Amino acid sequence: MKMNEDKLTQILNESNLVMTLAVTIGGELVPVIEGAIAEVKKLTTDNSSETIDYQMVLQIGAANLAAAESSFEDVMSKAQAELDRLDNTNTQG
Amino acid sequence: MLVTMVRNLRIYLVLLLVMTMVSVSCQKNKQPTVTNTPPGVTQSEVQNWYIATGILQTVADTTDKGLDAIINLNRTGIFPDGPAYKQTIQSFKAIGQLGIDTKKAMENQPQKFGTPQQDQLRNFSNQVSTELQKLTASGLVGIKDEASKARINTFISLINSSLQLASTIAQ
Repeated sequence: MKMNEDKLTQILNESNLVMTLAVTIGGELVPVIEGAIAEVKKLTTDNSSETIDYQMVLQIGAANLAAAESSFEDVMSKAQAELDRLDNTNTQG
Repeated sequence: MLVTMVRNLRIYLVLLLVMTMVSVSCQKNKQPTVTNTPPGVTQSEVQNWYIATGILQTVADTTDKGLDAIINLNRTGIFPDGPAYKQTIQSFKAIGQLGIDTKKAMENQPQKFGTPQQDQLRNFSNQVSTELQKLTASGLVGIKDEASKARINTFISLINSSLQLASTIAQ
């Protein structure tokens, strides 16, 4: 695998702590992620019989895409506003 | 404050989810079985689509937070207006547009995670990498404070890690 192994190892080592926080904090506020965490918990157990339901995959994937679109649109909007401000500053200067 | 904590946590959760799926899929004896799949849909198609959506969400969230941090540095005078700042903002905007285009390609269901979607994901990864290189070479040089520059580099590293994951499933 090509990815940064140190980063992966670090994050996976911290995964138990992260998941504990997620269950506590995310339980009420991020229900889709709550579901994801439950599945991640299953996936990280050393048991070859673990499964994930197809509909669950679709649900989390769709939520990921919706969140991605919202964030990317936010980026576009803020970046354009900043470029407009810079152009106006140059025009006035 | 709780909302901020949850938002920050969300980045790590999605990345964790993505990395766990990749990590698990790289070990045959731990590979999860996706149940109730429609006829003709393979395990790898579902998993790769799932991972791709997680990668995109992680890149989007990180890019958004990275841009907020850049603008905050500008407002506090650490990264003043000028060619370097403008290049940085232009790179973020370009990443945003690439992300929206890629999201549209990923909207199809997992059984459609075929060559066109893989190509789109590979192009996204390559083009975002190019923007990050521009940003690093011509943009971040305008940040005068090393600690602030290091903080922005953390965002870039997280995006790069996600892009490397994208490359592994878009082959």
